[in-house]
Amino acid sequence: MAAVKQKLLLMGKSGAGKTSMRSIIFANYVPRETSRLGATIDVEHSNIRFLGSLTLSLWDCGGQDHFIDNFLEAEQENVFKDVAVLIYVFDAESMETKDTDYFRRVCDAIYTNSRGAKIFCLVHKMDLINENEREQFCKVREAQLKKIGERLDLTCFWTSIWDETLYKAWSEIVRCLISNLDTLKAKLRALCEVCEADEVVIFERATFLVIAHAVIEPHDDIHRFEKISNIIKQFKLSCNKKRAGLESLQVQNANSTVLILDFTVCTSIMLVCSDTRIRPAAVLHNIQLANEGFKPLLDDAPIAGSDMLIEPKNIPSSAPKASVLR
Amino acid sequence: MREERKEACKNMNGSYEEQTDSYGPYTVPGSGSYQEHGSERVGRPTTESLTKSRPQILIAGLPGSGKSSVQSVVFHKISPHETVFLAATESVHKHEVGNSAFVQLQILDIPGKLGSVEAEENLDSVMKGCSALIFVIDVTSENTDEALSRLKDTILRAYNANSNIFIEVFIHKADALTEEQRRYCQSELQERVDDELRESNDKVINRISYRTTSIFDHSVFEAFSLVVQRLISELGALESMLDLLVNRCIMEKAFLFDEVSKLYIATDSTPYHPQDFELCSDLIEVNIDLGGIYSEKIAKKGAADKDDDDKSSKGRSSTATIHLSNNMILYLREVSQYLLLVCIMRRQNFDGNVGLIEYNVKIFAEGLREIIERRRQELNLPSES
Ligand SMILES: Nc1nc2c(ncn2[C@@H]2O[C@H](COP(=O)(O)OP(=O)(O)OP(=O)(O)O)[C@@H](O)[C@H]2O)c(=O)[nH]1
Ligand SMILES: Nc1nc2c(ncn2[C@@H]2O[C@H](COP(=O)(O)OP(=O)(O)OP(=O)(O)O)[C@@H](O)[C@H]2O)c(=O)[nH]1
Ligand SMILES: [Mg+2]
Ligand SMILES: [Mg+2]
Repeated sequence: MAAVKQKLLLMGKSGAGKTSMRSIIFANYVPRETSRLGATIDVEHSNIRFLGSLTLSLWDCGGQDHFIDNFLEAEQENVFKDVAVLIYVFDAESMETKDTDYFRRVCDAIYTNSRGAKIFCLVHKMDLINENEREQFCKVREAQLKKIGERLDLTCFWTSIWDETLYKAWSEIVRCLISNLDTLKAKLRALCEVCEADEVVIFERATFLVIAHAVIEPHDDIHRFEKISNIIKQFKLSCNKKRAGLESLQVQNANSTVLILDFTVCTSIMLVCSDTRIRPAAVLHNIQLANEGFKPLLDDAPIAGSDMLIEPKNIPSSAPKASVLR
Repeated sequence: MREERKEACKNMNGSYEEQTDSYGPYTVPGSGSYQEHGSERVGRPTTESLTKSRPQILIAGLPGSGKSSVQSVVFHKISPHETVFLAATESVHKHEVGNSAFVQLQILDIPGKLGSVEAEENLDSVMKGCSALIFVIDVTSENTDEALSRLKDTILRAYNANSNIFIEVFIHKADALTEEQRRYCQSELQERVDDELRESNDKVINRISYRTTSIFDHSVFEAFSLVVQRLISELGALESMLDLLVNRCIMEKAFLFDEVSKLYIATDSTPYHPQDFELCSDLIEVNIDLGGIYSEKIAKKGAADKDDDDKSSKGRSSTATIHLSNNMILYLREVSQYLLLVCIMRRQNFDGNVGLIEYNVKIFAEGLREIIERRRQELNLPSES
């Protein structure tokens, strides 16, 4: 099975935070480093191998007016055809009529060229909105954006590079592109039961986005997996600083054991057990046995290990950026 | 525009600081009158006798140099990027810090703005009671001359009030500098201060330590760790216990951490590398965060089937084991209330030796308990139950 290539458009006004989020999720930036990013010229195009069977073709579209105008007019067909996902990023702190007007025009272009595309509106930089006002703010914005995109399949997220909301949104985005998710979930549930674990989660190894989970013991915190993505990704980066990769992590507190380890080539797995009689060694053994069964679902299609991720960091900032429009 | 936003947010959110408006400038409010977040969190009573025995650390510096930020990031777990919302400090704020037995402090955060004559006089008596003075100097600020003259005045004043005081200069906001600039900045500043002080009082020079710091990386935790260590009289004993442990278990490095503040209390005598400290303190964060997520459920579950769980769970202290791809192991173990031992080991010395390591750690924890018990008696702290 060859890897399926899916086109993702990343749009929104200049300074909204598009390149920031892409760099954090796919290129191992820490949030603070994004303050050094310059404005994107035209389009920065990257191919990201995501699991074995999926390649994300990510178009980071520069948000300055003259670029957007160009995308909507002269380049419309080139930009908007064959789009699987449109990610439209708004700056929560400054949402003006001009932004929603552009969004309306982008929605129209999607409707014309890629009617089946999924739309994700990311209202971003939520950290700058006063906590007490967030709920009301979100309600108003969501209604407004849903109205604009009513002909399309549209979902809203509230994000910030400073917390797990970014992982929440991007996990949802990539999950809608994974084809065999139901089979995967069923298999995962079986594994969870065999291990007598409370829950099991699979993360994509490089981004640490949540791929799938099975939960047997309910838990109140519905955002916990994204929080863990964020926590472990940060820790992986600090291990990298010591030029070491994180192979496995085992944390035991009062009466729960959390195990996180490399699973298949493309994924990591987390198991949580609250039954203290369960021995980590036994769980590890079960995971190793399960590994074979999961490989076809997760690692299928040839894996080119090292070129999994593009590293924009290695591109000198003065060098001209590759543009797909020329 | 940045400034505008800061103002707006300040008004919306109020400030993060405690309201001590009823106390005049430079008068330290009586102890026990209010509880600080840290002591609330660990649920230890702030009694009169207890707060008296806590060493005091005074943080001084020009307005906007980052005094409140340092204090809030290290002790109140405010995220560094949130410090832009901190309002200017208007009066002396006393923060009680009651974490592990070794981190029992009072942090005095004073306004950078000069107060009234009366308030300034009061500062002398405050300094008399302080064990350490931290002077924060902003490397990104233009008015170096003003900062230097304030630095000199403050140091001399503190020294005259209390010649046993430890003096720490934090060369702060160093995130703006490269590694090389950091070193240069530090040596140049030190030279200038030494020159100026030599004229007035050369004994004080030896009491000053310089450290470059930033709230955006580990440097402020590293620097504050060293400040706190200067105030721990049992440091030598702790270090030799760690040396013994490292020797017996063939470890590469071992740190004893205060869990809540993530300051390290002591380390063994093998060479110190900042990245080791960073990695160990990041592990503590992971341990706390994961523990936080999966403890709620435990509380609920524990209530449901109490008799079943009680015994097995109570005795289990927190542990973490990390395998790294360079054949190193990070091993974390809770050795006392809010005290964590974090060790770096080679895999070949870890695999197959876990029993021995655990035994030695237990011996270490027992020794530690004795030290803590003595400390509690001396400092009049309530003993661990
Ligand atoms: N406060 C806050 N700032 C953010 C957030 N995300 C990004 N930023 C900042 O926003 C600025 C602009 O980010 P970019 O990612 O370059 O913006 P962009 O959307 O790619 O802009 P163009 O390339 O011109 O279209 C950077 O300084 C980021 O640090 C966020 O969640 N909160
Ligand atoms: N870049 C950088 N900025 C910092 C650092 N520490 C503090 N700041 C910023 O410096 C500004 C002033 O910080 P405060 O902590 O309020 O300063 P202060 O010394 O308490 O000021 P007064 O209370 O008026 O005396 C804030 O906007 C902080 O975000 C740092 O390490 N690096
Ligand atoms: Mg950009
Ligand atoms: Mg202040």
